[in-house]
Amino acid sequence: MEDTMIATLEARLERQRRRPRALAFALRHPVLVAGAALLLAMLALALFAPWIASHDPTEMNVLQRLKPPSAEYLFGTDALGRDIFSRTLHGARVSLLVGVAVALLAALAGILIGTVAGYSRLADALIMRVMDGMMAIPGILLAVALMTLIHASIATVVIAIALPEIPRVVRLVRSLVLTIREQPYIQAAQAMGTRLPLILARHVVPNLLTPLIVQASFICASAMIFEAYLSFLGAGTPPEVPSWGNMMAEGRSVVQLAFGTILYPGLFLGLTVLAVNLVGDGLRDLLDPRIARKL
Amino acid sequence: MNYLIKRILAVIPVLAVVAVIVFLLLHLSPGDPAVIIAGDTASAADIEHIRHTLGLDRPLPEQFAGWLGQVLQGNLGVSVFTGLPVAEMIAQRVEPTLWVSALTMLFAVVFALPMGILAAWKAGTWVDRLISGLAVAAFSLPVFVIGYGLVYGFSTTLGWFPVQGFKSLSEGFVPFIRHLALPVVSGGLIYMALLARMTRSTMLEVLGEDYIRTARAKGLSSRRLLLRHALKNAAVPIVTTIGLGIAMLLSGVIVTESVFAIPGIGRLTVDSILRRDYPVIQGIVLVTAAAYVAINLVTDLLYGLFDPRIRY
Amino acid sequence: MNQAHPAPILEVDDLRIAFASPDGIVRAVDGVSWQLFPGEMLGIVGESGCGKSVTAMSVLRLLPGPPAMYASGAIRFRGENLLDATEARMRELRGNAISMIFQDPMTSLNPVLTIGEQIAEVLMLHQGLGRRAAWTRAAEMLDLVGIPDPQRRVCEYPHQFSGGMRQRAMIALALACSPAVLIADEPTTALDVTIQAQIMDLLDRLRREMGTAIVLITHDLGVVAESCDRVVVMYAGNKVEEAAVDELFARPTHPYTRGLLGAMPDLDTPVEAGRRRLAEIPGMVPSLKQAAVGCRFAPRCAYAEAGCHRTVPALAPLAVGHAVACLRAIDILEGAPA
Repeated sequence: MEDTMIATLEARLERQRRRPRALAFALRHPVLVAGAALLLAMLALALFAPWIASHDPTEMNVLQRLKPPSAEYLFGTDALGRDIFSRTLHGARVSLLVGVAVALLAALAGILIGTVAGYSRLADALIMRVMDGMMAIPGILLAVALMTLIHASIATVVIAIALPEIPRVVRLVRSLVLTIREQPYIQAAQAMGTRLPLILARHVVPNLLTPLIVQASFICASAMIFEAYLSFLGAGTPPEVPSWGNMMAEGRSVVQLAFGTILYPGLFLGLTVLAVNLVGDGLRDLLDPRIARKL
Repeated sequence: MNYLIKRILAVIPVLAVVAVIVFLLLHLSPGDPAVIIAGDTASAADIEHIRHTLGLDRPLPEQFAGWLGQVLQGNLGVSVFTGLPVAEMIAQRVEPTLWVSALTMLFAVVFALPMGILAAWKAGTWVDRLISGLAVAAFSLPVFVIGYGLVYGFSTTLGWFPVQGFKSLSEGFVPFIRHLALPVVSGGLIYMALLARMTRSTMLEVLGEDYIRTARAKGLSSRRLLLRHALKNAAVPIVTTIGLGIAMLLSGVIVTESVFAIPGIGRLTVDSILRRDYPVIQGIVLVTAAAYVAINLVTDLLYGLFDPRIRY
Repeated sequence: MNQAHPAPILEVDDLRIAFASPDGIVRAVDGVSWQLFPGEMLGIVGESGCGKSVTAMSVLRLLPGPPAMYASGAIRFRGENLLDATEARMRELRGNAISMIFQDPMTSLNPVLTIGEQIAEVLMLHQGLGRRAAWTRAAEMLDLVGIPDPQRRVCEYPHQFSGGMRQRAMIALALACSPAVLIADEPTTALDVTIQAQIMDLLDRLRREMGTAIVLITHDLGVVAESCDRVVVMYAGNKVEEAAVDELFARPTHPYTRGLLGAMPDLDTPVEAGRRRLAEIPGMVPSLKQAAVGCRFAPRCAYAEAGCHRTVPALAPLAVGHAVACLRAIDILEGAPA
């Protein structure tokens, strides 16, 4: 009897082995694949927004204010009579731009500062104290404080959101560098007289990349939410930019009349952030679990 | 005892760095600090007056020393808009924020721990997938979207809760709770998701330990195994996350207050942003950072309760 | 064996355990049988990965259920098949009628509970003792396993104990409910050599005092020689030889057993008298993913001939209580050259 059960098990394994590669990968990493598919869909919407949108996102129409969804206005109109559907599509561009820019900026700054901290004892003590101090300030307040001092633009918003994210990247990079620099192949390279910049470029930084990509995807997700928070609090991108945050901030005063002003941009923001988070989770599961624990 | 003193002393550099950051933000940003502090409507004479009275024409280190001295005496400066001391303005707004934060934390912990434990125990099953999925979803929605969604469903449509506002506990427990219910849920979901995920991964790690196998070999029930043998071992990382997550919680509370028109620190923040009232924002940053540091000091000191290997 | 044995207290009967891994089915245990009689110490010997620990864990049904394990055959405790028992019934037995101690005493005790709590817990659960009585009994158990000052030590945490003391505490925990069977999985492997001997002496003394039958799982034939009554030698999920200890050491027959003996330092012969070089068994433990076509040991065996690669050897009696699974057993006993 046990032989028939083993045979059944073996047949099942055999079937799994015969699946096409792509399908097998999707079945083994459903989270990653689902997230990537959703993200691609959002990217496509953002990219082709001008062609998909039914109206000019900034075109106002006083006669068509706060209309419910209809064939003409798929998601209805806002307080100034602008088409929420078209604005939502264009908002995807701003959000994704901010998310990616913040992730890149924070990752680059993190690699730079974290590698220095990992290689210099003296700098390490100083840098880590500064990072501890930055982590003690809730990110949103640090960004708000910065935004009240500088002129609002997409670039300044990116800087303000990236700044509070830097300490976490620095901590990750530093702990990875401390592990990597003790590896035998690094010591072998040192013994052969390879100079430090080359060791960093050839051995250290490439080893940081995989965990950093995971970390960066989480930063990208949270940056998109932060952009919305800043706009909502009145410290975000300039009001004329059709970002999801600005749409929802403007929707506040009329939310009782037209819930769609917040619902649709909120929903699209949620789906985009979810997609990026799923990709991050999926990538983390692909990683070596020992590194994953540091994230 | 040694550890205790060391841990308390370690707070000082963190707070010092916070002070330096806040100070430098104002003085290194592109604008003229005097103009920023004076506000948009000030005349040239006003600006000159502010520059002189605040000593902005003196060298930076000297300014920092003077400013820090004032801060240490509890003087956080004066609001540009109202002319009131910043410390006083914050003190007036602290009560609602404290209530919202405390209840949000309670709500999140009470739900997150069982969810995380259950997800770890049922790892790989649909229960785990459901809980983990909800946690990722909660991470992906801005607090105010959840807030307005709840308002739309439970206040506007069903009429169960007030749309906005805050009632002090002295005005009766029922109105107090009815006003806080939706803010607490909307602000707490993301923090709850963070805690649930952390609890799950820590419990999973603990459940793979040898002593859990020993406990199973003793014939213990699953309940006792989880709650007595595993949870106590997972407590230190979970408590750490509760402390570190306070920053996320406070961010959520600041936004939530704005959604529900609760007259707390968050509301003060938004008002100050609109008025470009930097001294108030600076004060808020200092006070919340101090609160964050204090809470994490307390959680660190709690470790000893859970792990006998840690002695103070 | 000459004397008639009473009924076995624990009987493993044609046990098969396989688990699915992404690249195939691993037959961790492939038809193993043995019997444990009251009061005896049975050694199960083999390299890591031979299935001895999996067998031990499956007696208490501690192997993770899905996604992996699948078992057939029977494990009978006092005639009751444990593979059919409910989880509730298993909880009744675990730590009570059948106990287990593990390899690493450093990690096998819960670091955040006192030793007393961990021992008292099992007494309160299975023996229905009150808290006070359970703690008194816990201190008595610590005394019994030779931990000095038990009244004080019972309130301490595992990190305050040394490695040897922790293993003593583990033994106290396992024997607290006077179990009929104790399964000791590599109980001395993680300990210093001097401590190893003390722990083995302790186990030997306790089984005589309490009448507990012990299954000792180890890779160390030296430990077996000193304290076991009978030995089962396992290789790659199979039982390859079984005999009383004296018989096995006098007439080791399976080439694998001979290899294990050759790999054991011979401390009784002085170096000057020409102590031979330690032999090692060439090759690696085979993959258990394919069903066996011949003898699993054949690729590493010096005695192997063509037939060994084609025919799975059956276990055949050689003498009373001595069985071996080797096609060339008779040749080897008659002194055939390798």
